[in-house]
Amino acid sequence: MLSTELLDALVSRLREARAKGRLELLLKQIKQEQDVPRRKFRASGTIDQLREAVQIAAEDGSISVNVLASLVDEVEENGGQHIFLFDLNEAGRQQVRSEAFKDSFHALPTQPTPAMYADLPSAKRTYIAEKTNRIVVKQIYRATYWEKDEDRSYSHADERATIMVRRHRRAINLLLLDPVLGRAEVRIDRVRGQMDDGLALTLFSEFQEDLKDNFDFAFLTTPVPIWRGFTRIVSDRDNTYMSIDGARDASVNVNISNRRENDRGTDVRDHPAYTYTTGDYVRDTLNVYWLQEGKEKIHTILSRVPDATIGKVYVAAKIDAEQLAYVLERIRQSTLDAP
Amino acid sequence: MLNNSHMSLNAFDNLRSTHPDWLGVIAAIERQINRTLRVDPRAVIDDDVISQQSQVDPKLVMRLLVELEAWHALVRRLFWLCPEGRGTTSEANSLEEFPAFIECHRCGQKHSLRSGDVDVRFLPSESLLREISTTQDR
Repeated sequence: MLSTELLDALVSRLREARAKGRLELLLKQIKQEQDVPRRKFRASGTIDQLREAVQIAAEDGSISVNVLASLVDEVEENGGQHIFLFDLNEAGRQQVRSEAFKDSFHALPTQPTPAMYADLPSAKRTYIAEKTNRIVVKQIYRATYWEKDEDRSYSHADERATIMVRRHRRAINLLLLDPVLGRAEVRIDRVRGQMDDGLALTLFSEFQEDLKDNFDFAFLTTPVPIWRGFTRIVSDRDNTYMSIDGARDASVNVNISNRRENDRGTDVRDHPAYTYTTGDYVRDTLNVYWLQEGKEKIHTILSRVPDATIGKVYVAAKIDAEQLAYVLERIRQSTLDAP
Repeated sequence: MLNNSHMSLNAFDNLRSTHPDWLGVIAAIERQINRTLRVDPRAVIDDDVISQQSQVDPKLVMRLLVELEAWHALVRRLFWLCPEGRGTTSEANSLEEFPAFIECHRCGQKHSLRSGDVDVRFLPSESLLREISTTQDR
């Protein structure tokens, strides 16, 4: 049963994730598949109009609460994240397969509840679920961070003040485990509308601490050294686009960027001055768009975390689960046999 | 062999008829823009670059570029530059089109709009690009 409270919570999550388009797509699919009369409910419009459409669709049984919740889950779990890739060692594979591990977390409820989709969760909840060969540990919580209040901060001729306010946001962290392939992946909610590496590492550290009794990263995993694949990614002209690059060798630092926004300009690697594809140049970050035929480019910022043997993949946009999996697989592949 | 080979570009012909005393300068700018867009049709037409490369007075270059805009060969474009020095974070036709804040694709940070970070340059119009693509290099 889709209560008003749950409906509002689910639609709010989609609104917050700017996923109106995904909801429209779902409603269109339902109308097509179930041969719903055209005027029964709308499949486009404002988010408030779509909320009304969902309510009508739910009342006549065209859409179930689980279908709507699955859409919210997919949107919340794919993109808008800092992602850390790991390999599981043998102990890690055994741990993940063990019943003790699976029993150490509450199972993800089969019926969505308003509390699970609350704007600001009242408590930190960690669940486990098995999804298509993967074990998923999902943490839903309230993240906090400090941010400059632009409206109240000021800079006058003889006085300046910066007002910092503590913000609270719903956040989702994920640990995805594949015992067959021996892989682990951590997705940390970016929480803020910008790349905040300090916050990401703090939240990652807290997530590791929360899981430590049941899954100790230090003993069960090895980080994937994604920076070792940077040169290979730069050379992969068929599957990537670059609007900016920064590299260094023993003599020089080079920074090159095109002059158009996003992906409108020429790929910097096409410029005659660009000669930085060889392994002689090293990078701490790699700003790259991933191409997939018939799909939108996916923008990522890959980086090596300073003073740590770990790499991070930042994906700002909310994207399709399959596309994100494709990008992460390419990043993993680029590190294979890399020097 | 293209029929219209070795033709000059229409908008520059208009400039030449308007300013018969500046034929050398107009030819230098035409050569520069033509060469730039043949190499990269997505390039920005930057008055500073043209002025330095063609060794023409910057004010005169700007005046002629504005006239080329009036002849629909160029389109004025505003470029919001990443304050971290990573290139263009956004572009628009007017300042009002920019949001007050932007999440920068170049550096990942959030920037607030400051007039000092906005550059006014030009882009080639579709008609100029079409003309260049159907005209042989001069």
